Amino acid sequence: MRQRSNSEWLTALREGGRGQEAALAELRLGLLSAIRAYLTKRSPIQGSLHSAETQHLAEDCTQEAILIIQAKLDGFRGESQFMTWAFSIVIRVALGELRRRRWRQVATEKAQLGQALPAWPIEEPGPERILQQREAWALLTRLIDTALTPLQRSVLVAHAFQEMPLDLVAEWLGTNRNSLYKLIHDARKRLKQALLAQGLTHKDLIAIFDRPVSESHLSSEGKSPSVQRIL
Amino acid sequence: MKEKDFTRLIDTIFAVKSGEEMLCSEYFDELPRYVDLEVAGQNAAALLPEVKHHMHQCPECGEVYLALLKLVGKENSSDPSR
Repeated sequence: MRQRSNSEWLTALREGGRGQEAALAELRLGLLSAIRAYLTKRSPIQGSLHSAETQHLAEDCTQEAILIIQAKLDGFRGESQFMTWAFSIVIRVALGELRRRRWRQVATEKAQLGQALPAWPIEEPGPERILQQREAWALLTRLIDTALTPLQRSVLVAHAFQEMPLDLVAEWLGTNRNSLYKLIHDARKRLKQALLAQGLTHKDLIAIFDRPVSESHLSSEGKSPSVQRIL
Repeated sequence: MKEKDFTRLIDTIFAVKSGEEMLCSEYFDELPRYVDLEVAGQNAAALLPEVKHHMHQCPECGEVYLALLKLVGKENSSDPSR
């Protein structure tokens, strides 16, 4: 089938009648087959969806994406292929729904949302580095508790540690995704300043959490110089 | 939380810019162009560094990028004329 140009897509989707019907059918087919293939094979957050569930999810996401595309048609700037833009919408819808489903499965009690930091954040710490990592985590916990505003702390806990999707955090707090991103940006700046003020650099923390002990700069006493200095 | 997610959180703290950063809505406006550039073999990260930075700082937005790249790449591979 010949590919439509951007202007042909826009003209066809804006006009009424058979031209619009054909364009919508072609758009639906393209989105549905792509998102179905993605959900079947590739989604890292899909979990265990049955094939019928995948089909229903793909159809629902395609339908929702087409409604969004029609509503946002005037906002398409023509800086990409029309179908790339359309795919970006359907994949956002699909990943958003998958995140909501996953969140419903692991949902934290509402009273706990954004409250307590975990005693230990990582599922499977390396046994050789556990002492150094726990010391560094204790410091990070203290800085999260003291350097952030209550709202910044709540959002960080809910999103980063309780794994609540950003859109749901926004709904929970009655705000929007952009405002949350700004808030997290400011929280990161405060944490970075606080860590640097304690003499702890990016390199120090990554050495503690991300490298085998033999490759790190940990001292023979089992503490990194920076953590030893500040604890 | 996986160890890689925790270290990514640390990465995002230290990678934060002192000034304003691209917001999620602005990122989604630019992402299709970024992916098209990448699929065309151009250095999208150099051409649109704010997009690259945002996808690093916002893991959910980064996930959308990876998924979109797969969708568009597959389309292209099945239709080289596109």
